[in-house]
Amino acid sequence: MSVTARELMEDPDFVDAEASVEEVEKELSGAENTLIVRRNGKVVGEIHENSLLKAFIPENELDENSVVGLLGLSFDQSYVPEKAEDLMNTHDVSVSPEEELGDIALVMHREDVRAVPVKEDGEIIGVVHENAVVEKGEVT
Amino acid sequence: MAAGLAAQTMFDLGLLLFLSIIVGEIFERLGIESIIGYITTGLILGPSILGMIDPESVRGFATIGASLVLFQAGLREENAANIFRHKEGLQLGLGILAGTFAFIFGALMLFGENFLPYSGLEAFVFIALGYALVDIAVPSKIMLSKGVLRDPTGKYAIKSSVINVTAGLLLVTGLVVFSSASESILLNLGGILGFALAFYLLHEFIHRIDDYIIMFEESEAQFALTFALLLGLSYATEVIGLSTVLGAFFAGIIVSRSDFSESRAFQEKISAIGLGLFIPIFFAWFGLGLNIEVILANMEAAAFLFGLSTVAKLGIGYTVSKLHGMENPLTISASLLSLDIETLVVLLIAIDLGVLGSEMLQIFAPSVLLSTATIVGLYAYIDRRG
Repeated sequence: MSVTARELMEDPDFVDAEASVEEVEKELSGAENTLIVRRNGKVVGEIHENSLLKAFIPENELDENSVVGLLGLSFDQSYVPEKAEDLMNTHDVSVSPEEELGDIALVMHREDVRAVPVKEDGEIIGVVHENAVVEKGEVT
Repeated sequence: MAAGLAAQTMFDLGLLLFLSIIVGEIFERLGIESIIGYITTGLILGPSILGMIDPESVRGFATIGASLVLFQAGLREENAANIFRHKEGLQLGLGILAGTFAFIFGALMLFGENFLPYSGLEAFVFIALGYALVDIAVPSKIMLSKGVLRDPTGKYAIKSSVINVTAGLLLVTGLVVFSSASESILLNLGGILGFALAFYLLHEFIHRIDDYIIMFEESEAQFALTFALLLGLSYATEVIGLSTVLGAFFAGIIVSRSDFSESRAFQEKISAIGLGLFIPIFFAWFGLGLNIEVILANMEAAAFLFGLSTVAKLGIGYTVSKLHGMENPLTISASLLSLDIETLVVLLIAIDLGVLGSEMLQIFAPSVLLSTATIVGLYAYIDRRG
């Protein structure tokens, strides 16, 4: 029987939506690479390690359409982050605790993420990281 | 005959796209927006100069391009809503919108008939609203090249601009509904209410539909269905008397609520088909329709509107940012002078509704160059002053 998300997952790391970018950097400098963002105790998004990359790109290498959009109707603040909420992804991708390793790999590949939250009854109970999938997975 | 026509269309499109991208790239390297390069390409290839391409041959593709511009704007609507929480940005963005609108509208009511081929209240409202919008792309480009976009000055200017454009386009939407409803009130209102209901249902239940779409075996299903929604809503808005580009904007808002819209793969596809194909053709088509003789004949009107917009935005931008205690009020106000695609969209909607004639595009065209030159000049002055 294949390994499930419940066996692969680790405890989730949480960060407040109003936390500073420095706090986010500090949290992400550890081994984990996904932070679950909460506002008033409610989960509102998640930050992956690669979410910070945009903030490091030198300004002269950026294209204005990426930052403000073609019609100037938006401002992608992940290029200019001040708080955790500026970096977070609001479209959550999650798996259930019984999801099997192969399906988790598919979700990670399709969504281009290196970790995926595990949700049970609407609550995030853990996070499966890429290295856990690689460690437990078997290439046949 | 049909084959001959198809071949000519292929040639026109290929030539227009190829040269637009090359000229756009040259403009980018010179520090000018690629969009101006696309427009210039159209102007040169069009009936006014070389006469190589008939604007009608690419009109259909240009219409899809215009829809994609608004669709992409709608896709980022959630982000714009967050920016409205920035108090100072809200005050400056709305201050420029309201102040510039009032200034231009007042001047048009007093002197408009002397400069423009319009006299109606409705035409003046659309023109004033269009010219009250600001474009942030040109200043962003300059700020990025100078490395100041991440400074408080850059963030404040961008947030104000996003608020100005979002609020302006919402007002335009209301204005369009009001303008169309006045023709055959019951029929149009019924259509608009039906459309509003369909929009609400799609907006609220896209998450559930999304779950089914994700299960499709067809790998491009998300993209194809998104495009179908975009075209369907554009058609629906046209049928009920609104403008097609508004339908595209609403489609963008709906799709932005789906789970797949933030995936990199989806965004790359939309960006490639928009920025790499239809959007350059839309701007080049706009250039094809320009006529140098008509532009020169309307230069007085162009200068009048550009002058009103610039004076109002510079004055309001400087005063409000000074009141907010910002360090560089002149840089901020200069960053909010640009007239570009946002104004063009409003004017195209008004032309689509029959409120303005197509000559309005000839009147507007010089403003793009004039405002860019003014911003570059002001930034140079600010740099020299230190």
